[in-house]
Amino acid sequence: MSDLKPHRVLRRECLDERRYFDALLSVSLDHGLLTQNDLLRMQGEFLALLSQTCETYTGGSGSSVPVETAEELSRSLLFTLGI
Amino acid sequence: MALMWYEMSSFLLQEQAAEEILHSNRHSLPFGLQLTKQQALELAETRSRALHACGRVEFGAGMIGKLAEAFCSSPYLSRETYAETLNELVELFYLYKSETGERVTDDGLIRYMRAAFDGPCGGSLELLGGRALYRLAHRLRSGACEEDQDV
Repeated sequence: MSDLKPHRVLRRECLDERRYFDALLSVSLDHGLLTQNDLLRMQGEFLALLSQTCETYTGGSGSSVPVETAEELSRSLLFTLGI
Repeated sequence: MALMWYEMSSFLLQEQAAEEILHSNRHSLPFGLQLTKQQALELAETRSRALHACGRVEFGAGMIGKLAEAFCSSPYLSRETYAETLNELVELFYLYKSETGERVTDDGLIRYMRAAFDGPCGGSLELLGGRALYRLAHRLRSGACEEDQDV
């Protein structure tokens, strides 16, 4: 009996540590823990967060950033969210 | 992943961007200039294309409103050419925002564009893009002027 382990749909060791948040969303969606509507809402909220971060990055002096900069800021935000 | 979301949403948000662009009419109307909904949608598309071509990402379409606000009092703009000129200004703006290597602020670049357009370029978009902005980018890249104040 002591060998019995609780059943978990999400197993941390199966999620890619380098892109943890991304993997978590993907697995959650696959297992029905999140709906497409949840994902759409989170996309909107994330883009609002990214927009604010880009504004902070440019110090309000520019409304656009190079794609590479946006990618770096996105990775940084996703990493933080994954923690 | 996040930039994929951005591309998906920017496609869906064209309509919203057009609405934002139409707000600039309140500044241009006193000068007899007004954008239609169709022209605003075209401007939103031009912006998307220009951003993509220059490898840039932008949230919101406020920049077009700023350009419209800055240029609507130019004596070289007419009701017939207003939308077409704005489309070209949008393309030049993003092109030279990239070409100047982020060394100039949005407001600084718009101020320079307006001053050059009304001044030495005499209302010519060809001269604005091919000469004035080209020279500005060269000066900024070579370090001849470093900051927005020197522009």
